[in-house]
Amino acid sequence: MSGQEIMLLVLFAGLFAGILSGIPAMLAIAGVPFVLAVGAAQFGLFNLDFLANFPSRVQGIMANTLLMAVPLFVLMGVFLERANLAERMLRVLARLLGGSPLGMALSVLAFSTIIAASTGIIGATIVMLVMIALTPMLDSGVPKRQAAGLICASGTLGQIIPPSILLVLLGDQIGNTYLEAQQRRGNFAPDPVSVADLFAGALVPGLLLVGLYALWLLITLRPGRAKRVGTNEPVAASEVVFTFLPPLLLILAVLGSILGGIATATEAAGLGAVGAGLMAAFSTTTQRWERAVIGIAGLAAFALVALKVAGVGRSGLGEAASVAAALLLAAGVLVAIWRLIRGRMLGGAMVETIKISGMVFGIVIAASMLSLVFRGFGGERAVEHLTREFPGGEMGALLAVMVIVFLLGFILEAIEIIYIVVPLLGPAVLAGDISPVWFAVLMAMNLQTSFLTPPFGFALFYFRSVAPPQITTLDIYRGVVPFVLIQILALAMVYLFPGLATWLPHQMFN
Amino acid sequence: MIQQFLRLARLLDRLTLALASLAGATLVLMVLVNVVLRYGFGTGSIKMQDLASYAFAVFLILAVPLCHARAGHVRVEVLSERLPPAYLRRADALAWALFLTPVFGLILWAGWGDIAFSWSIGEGSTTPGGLGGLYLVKTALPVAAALMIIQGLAALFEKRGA
Repeated sequence: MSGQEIMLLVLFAGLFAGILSGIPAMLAIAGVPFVLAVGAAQFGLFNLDFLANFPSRVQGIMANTLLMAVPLFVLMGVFLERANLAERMLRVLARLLGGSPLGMALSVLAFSTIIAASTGIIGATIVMLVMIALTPMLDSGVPKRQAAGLICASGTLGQIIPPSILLVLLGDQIGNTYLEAQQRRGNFAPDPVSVADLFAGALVPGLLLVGLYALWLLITLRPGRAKRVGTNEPVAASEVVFTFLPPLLLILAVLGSILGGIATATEAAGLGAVGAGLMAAFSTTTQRWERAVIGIAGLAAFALVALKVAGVGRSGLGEAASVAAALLLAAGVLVAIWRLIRGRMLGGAMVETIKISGMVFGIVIAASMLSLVFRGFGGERAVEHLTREFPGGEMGALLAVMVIVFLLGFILEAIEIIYIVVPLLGPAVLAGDISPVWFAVLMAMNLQTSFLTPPFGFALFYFRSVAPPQITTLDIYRGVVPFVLIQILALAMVYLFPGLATWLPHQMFN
Repeated sequence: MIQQFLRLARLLDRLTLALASLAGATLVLMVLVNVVLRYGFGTGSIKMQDLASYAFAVFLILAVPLCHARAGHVRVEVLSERLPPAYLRRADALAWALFLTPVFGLILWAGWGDIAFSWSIGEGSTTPGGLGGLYLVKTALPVAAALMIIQGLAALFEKRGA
């Protein structure tokens, strides 16, 4: 083993020690490689010129417009959360379907699927679900273990159901790695992988998971007979429409415009953020005229998308309609901004968005230092070597990466794993004929399973941190086991039938 | 002395927050305007697209020190939550001296030449017909790196005081 190979092992050992020490993970991910590189340079094992590239690497991240979708999706989620839209949705659902354990559990699942699509951050989703859904579920007679398991499992759905931030980041990393790996192998014109491909690829597996969860609830929970009958006031149809239609339309519009190839991920995320802001303003104001202006602005935004789809922008009539829609949208946005400032929501939402984005980008920046040092120690050659020696070639490498990702999921968050594992080990998998979309979907589902697996799963920690004491940690572990098994089943299905992930993107974009 | 430093750090944080919020708002509005132009009128403005990318670059890099000042960076607390708080204080101080300052110091030191060159030619956008002033956007990186070092130190003092 050469000196550099030993340094690679030291690098990984040091990285884990650093991360587990409890300091901010980004400091460990950037700092440990840096210190090791400077140390190794004293013994001629590292060329410090590699480090001089760091500032220009960071400038490159700042100029990466693909990442632009991240803060916009975060802002969209923050608005939806702050506007109490989620809470109201669940309340209406509970009154519609509640009254039976099965109905209540299914409504929590349905609601999580919609909300998961909008936020995509596990911690936030689980805390919110515990706050608003746990008591109603227990009241309607769902056993506490199953309620705990369902909340943990539903909270991780945001990782896989598009539009998820995780998939945007995976798209960034897998896209680059795939391109480089293919070019190195001599294929100079590989089909590029876009975020839209991943969104399309993850949609069927995500819905498959939801379906399997629902099937499990249907088998294990009885319909009818609530333990304690809640307020069974009838629900007006208009209330259902007003509560569900706006967020559903928003998510369908965001997703549909990306999958339909109408909008880029960034454009759709921007529209989503503006739409969620309009909704937040709509629900804070009581003034009728403000509601009207904001509501019309929302419709105008849809009209603009429709005009684009119809392609009538050039004709005289289309031009007039475009001008009208743009003006109405502008008016609504102005009123909404004014309302959100008055309601002291805009500043808070912005600070929250900055905080979450800073967390994401801190890791992205730190990981670029790690990958520089990894290259400086000849890590790429080592990985290439490893692949050639590896039993089973690329499929063997894929399985190895899956095991590593699953284990890493116990101690690291998804973003860290993506930015460490994909650039370093990804080339071993992506140099061959393995579909990058399939690989990305497997990674996302694998991470999601890892977050759910006792005793270390992140979802379980988040649940524990807000759950009442009468639900013991053991209850949570036992409750989540069936869902982990369902996850593994779904993962196996996607592994055995890659078409589940690759069929939809193929249909849509080829 | 320490009190004055902390007051300075807080003032810098407020200025950074104002700038990052402005950048964030510009980003959202520019993406919206570009979408409206492209969908409704089939045109686009390279300058406005550049403005969106500039706003994003500034937002991205300033968000990092802002997040640090708000203790928002993820920590893996599996082990440290079982140790006394004094441990984490010491670990944080060590991380500041050993990891944070050298890494962000490297950005200042190794990136200096690029930034100076960028200012000297008044670097603008690479797209023809694009917006000027890219050198200002690039300068956000060393500024954020310096802020990171300052906010990291301030966080150490704040914790001891609290």
